Amino acid sequence: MSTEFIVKRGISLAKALVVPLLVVIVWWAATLREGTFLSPPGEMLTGLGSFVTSQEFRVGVVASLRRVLIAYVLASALGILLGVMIGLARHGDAVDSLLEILRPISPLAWVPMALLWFGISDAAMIFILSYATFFPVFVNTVAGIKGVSTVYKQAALTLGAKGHTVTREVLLPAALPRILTGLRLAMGLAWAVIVAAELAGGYSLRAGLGYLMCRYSMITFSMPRLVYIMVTISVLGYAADIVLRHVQNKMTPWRRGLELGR
Amino acid sequence: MRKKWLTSARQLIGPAMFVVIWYLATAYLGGNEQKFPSPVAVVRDFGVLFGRNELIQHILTSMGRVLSGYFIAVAVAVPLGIVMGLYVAARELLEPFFEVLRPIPGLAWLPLLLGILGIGTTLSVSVVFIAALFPILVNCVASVKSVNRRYEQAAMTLGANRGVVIREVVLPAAFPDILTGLRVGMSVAWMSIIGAELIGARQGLGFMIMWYQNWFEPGKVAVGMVTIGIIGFLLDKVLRYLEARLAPWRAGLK
Repeated sequence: MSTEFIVKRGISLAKALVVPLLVVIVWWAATLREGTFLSPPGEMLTGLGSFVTSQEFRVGVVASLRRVLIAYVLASALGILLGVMIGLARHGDAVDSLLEILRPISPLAWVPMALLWFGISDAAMIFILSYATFFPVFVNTVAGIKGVSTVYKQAALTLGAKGHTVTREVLLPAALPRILTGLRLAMGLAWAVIVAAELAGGYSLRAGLGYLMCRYSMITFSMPRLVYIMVTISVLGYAADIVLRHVQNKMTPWRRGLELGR
Repeated sequence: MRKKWLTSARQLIGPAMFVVIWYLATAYLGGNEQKFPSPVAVVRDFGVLFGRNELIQHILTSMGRVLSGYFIAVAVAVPLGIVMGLYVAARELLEPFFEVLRPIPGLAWLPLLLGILGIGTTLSVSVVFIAALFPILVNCVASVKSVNRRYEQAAMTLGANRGVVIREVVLPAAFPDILTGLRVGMSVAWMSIIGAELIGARQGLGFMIMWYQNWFEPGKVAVGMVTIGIIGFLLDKVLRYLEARLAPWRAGLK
């Protein structure tokens, strides 16, 4: 590393810190007023270690992570399966339009109904998250299968492939990039939805990041803890996206090339 | 003409089948009215809520909030996004800051803001603002940045100065993608207002469905859900229409 490089990095880092520094100053000034709920910036770090290592926090992370993963696996499997079937079926459009009616109904609008059906429970959360993750996967799978050029199919058939082989060797690989895009969208949506769903579940939910947020905003207000949880959610969502992006690059390496070549 | 009529008739088959299946499921599977409302019950409850002017009140409240938060987000994100797209210096200053905040879902701000602002309209509007800000901003920066430099160089060769190039070349070229960001922002905004109202409001559609959940009235919850779906669908249609209307060349490009 040359000195020039280090100096350049130093300057860009300094530039990046200007705005956050201003925000901290304004924030600090705001806490000087009487009767504010804002904690001063200095207090943000003091409780971090003990909170992040606490049992309570670990239980919360595990509970939310579990709900997201169960729902994600269930809904993705169902979304891909139904998507492939409907994409291939002659009258798939009819079934598709049946499901499309539900699509504009936001996953969060299902929260009260899920609470009525399943009570305030893991099952309610998993239902809401499954609903949220199903549609991006399903819609993209159908679009992926239908978007495969008929020339590919005809070419495979001409070369003597049977229907089944065509599906496995031609249609699925060709639809894969769209399916993976759907899977990534779904994961992003799951993390946006879980907070609100768990918050609405409220104090009786007993575990989860949204439950902890409910506790530290409505029962005992603690701004530092709320911020730690917000950061945790964004880190988990971000990490999940990195994993999926990695899977995407591994499974569809040609896609990267296509994007770079554009 | 006849063909068009036929396609729109075909589009009604799905919804009609949906209602029939729903009706049969609640009628013959031993449905529990406390949990699974039949379509008939939902229509009846719609009449009740509509007749008391309750539904309209909640719709107007939610719409007012979502539009306020959304338009504030547009007013901040579009100019900021254009400046960030145009000038490297602005990007170096602001991009790291926004990149850190971006992965935090808009609704995750709700508990913190609830503690600071309390229950009410300011809270819902703020959540919508934060949620809509990022998709609009990111799209705006990306679309201004990705305008083909050749266009700018061509305009400059023809004697245009920087201001003219920005106004006449860069902004029109970026415009369709900015509109796409506005549409995505609206769908996020609509989802966020419902989420915010589930928890931190005493009016609005999100509050309404949560309220009737407490009273074990699934029919009224379903009326709210259908209304939320229809409004979300219509907002998307309006923005798509504007996109097609204001940037007609876009459809051709695709």
